[in-house]
Amino acid sequence: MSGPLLLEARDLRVDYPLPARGLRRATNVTVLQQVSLTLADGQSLAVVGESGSGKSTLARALLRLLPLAAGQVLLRGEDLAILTAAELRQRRRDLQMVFQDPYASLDPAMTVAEILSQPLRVFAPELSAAQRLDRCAAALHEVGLQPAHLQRYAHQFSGGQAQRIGVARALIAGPAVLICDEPVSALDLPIRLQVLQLLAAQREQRGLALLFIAHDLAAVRYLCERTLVLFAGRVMEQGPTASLFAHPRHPYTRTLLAASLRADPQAAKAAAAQRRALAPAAAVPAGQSAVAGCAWAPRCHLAQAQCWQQQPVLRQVGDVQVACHRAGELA
Amino acid sequence: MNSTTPPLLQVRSLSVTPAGAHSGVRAVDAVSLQVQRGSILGIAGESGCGKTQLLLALLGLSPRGALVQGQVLWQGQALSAEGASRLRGDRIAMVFQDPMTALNPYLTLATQLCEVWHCHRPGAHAQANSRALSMLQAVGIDEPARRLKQYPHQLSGGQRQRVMLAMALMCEPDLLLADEPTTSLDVTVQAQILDLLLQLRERLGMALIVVTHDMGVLAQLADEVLVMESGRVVEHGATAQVFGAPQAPATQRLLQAAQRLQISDSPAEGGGL
Repeated sequence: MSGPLLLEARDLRVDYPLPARGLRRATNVTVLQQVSLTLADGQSLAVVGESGSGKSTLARALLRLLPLAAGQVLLRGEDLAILTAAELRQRRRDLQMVFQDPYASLDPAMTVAEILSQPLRVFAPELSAAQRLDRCAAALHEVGLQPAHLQRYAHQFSGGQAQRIGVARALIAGPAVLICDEPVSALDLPIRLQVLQLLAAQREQRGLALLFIAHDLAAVRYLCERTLVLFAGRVMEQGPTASLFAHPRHPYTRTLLAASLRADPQAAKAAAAQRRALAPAAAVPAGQSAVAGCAWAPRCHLAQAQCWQQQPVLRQVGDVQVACHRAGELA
Repeated sequence: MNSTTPPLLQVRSLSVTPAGAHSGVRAVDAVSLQVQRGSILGIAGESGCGKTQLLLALLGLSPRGALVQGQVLWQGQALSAEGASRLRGDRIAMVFQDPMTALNPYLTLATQLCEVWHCHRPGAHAQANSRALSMLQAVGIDEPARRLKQYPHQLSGGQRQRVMLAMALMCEPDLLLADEPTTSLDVTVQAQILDLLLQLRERLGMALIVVTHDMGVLAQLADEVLVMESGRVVEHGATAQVFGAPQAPATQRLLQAAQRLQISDSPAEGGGL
C-alpha cells in the first residue's frame, strides 16, 4: 500500500495527576504505557479490557483530547501533537467518535437537526442552511431514522435510536476513522445487535476504519479483524481476532473469554467450570506486589516467581503478540 | 418437593394499570407464576415489556396511582399491602440495576447495611454490625471491617453491586428479586456476581427471581424461564426447553440476539452479524 498509514500510535504513555492530599505529595499515576497500534484505511481494530484498563484513555489520547506523557499519534503520517488548535480541528474531520452513553453525549437542549448540523458548520461552512438540513436528513436516513425526527430532542428517543443519532453525528462529516467507545454497552441485546449491524454496514459502504472499544470480547467478534487486549494500561495480547478466540495465549484473554455469557445452558456450565480453573490458586505470596512484575499476576492462575519480579515484554507467539512469561507453555 | 407444601410465592393473574394510562393499557397484564423454595426463575423481555413493573408490584412498590389487580400469595397466604411492607427487606429482598443510584452517597456502608437490620430486627441492635461484617464477607468483599467505614464512591462498580447484594441478604431472605443485577458491569465482574448468586442459593437455600434482557444471564442462572412482551407472558418453561425449542417470536428474538453476540465455543461458525 502506498502513502502513509491512516492512524498510528507509537509507545503512548498517559499520566493522570494525583493532587497532594494530607501528607501525600502531588504525583502522577500512569494509566497507559507503551501502547502502540496501527490502523490502515478500512481496517478495524478492537480494544478490549475491563474498566480501569485504560481503554477510554487510549481513545482520548488518540483524539488528542488529553495530553500525552510520551509517544506519538500520527494521522496520515502527521504528528497530531505539533498541530495548532485550528489545524487540529480540521484533522478531526477524519477522526470522529461515538460515545458510550448516547443521552449524555447529545445536547438535551438541541434538536436533532441542530446536533447534526454542528459538525457541518465546522467542516463544511460553505453549505447553506437548506443544504445542511438536507445533509442531516440524509444522515438520519442512513442510520435508519426518519426526517421527521429532525425536530425532536434527544430525550424523545429510545436508547438505541439515540445511539443511532450519535453514529449519524460522527459520520456526517465523512471521517476516515470512527472511534467507538463502548457504543453498545448501555443497550439491550436486540438493540445492541442492530447498532453493531449498522456500524458494520456503514464500515462496508464507506470503507471506514474502525477503532472499537469494548469490555466484552463477544461484541467485537464479527466487527473487527484485529483485537488488542489491554490490562492496567498495558497491552497483554494483540493479533487477529480469530486467533485470539481460537487460541488465546494470555491468561487474561482466557479469563475474558470465559467470562463472556453463553446463550446456551450447557455452554454456560462449561464456561463456569473454565472460570473456576482460571481462578488464582493461592493468595498473593508474602512480600510480592505487582508493581515490579506483571500486572495480571495477582489474578493469574499461572503466576510464578518470575511473574512477580519481571515485567513481561510483548513478543511474537504464533500469529499474535503476547506479554506473558508463560505464554509459550500454554497450548 | 412435598405436594402439600404451598409454593414460596404464587402470583395469580396480576395486572398493573399505570395511572393515567390511555384506555386502560396495562404495564403488566394477567401474569401468573410461582416460585418454589430455592429455585431460580428468570424473567426475560425487551425494555418496556413490563418486567420491572412486575417486580415492583410483587413488592407492593407500584408507582402511586397505579391500579394493581390479581392475587399474590406468600407461602399460601394472600399478601396484603401491609403484609408486603412487612416482608420487604426481610423475607423478600431486592437488588436494583444501578448500584450507584440505589446506594446513598452520604452514608457509610455500615449505616446503610445496619439500617436494614434495625428496621426488621429492632430487638437485636447489638448484632447489626457483626451481621453487616459477615454479609460483606459472604459476598466476597476484601477487608470488610475497613470497607464498612467507607462511602459508596470509594468502591468500584462491582464492589457496589456486591454491597447491594449484602444489604439484601442482611435478614437472609427467602426470596431475592434481582432487576438486571449485572447489566451495568464488566463481563469479568458480571461472571463473578452470577457465580456468587448461584453459590448463595446453594448456601442459603434462597429462591431468586432474575429479570433481564440478556438470555445469556438466564442460561447460566435460571431453572425456569418466563418471557414477557407488552405486559403479557408469551412463553414459560424449563430453561433447557425454552433455550432448546423457543416457541414465541419474542423469545426467538431475544435468543437470537444473545446467540449472535456470544463467544462461540464451536469454531468455524462465522457468518457475520
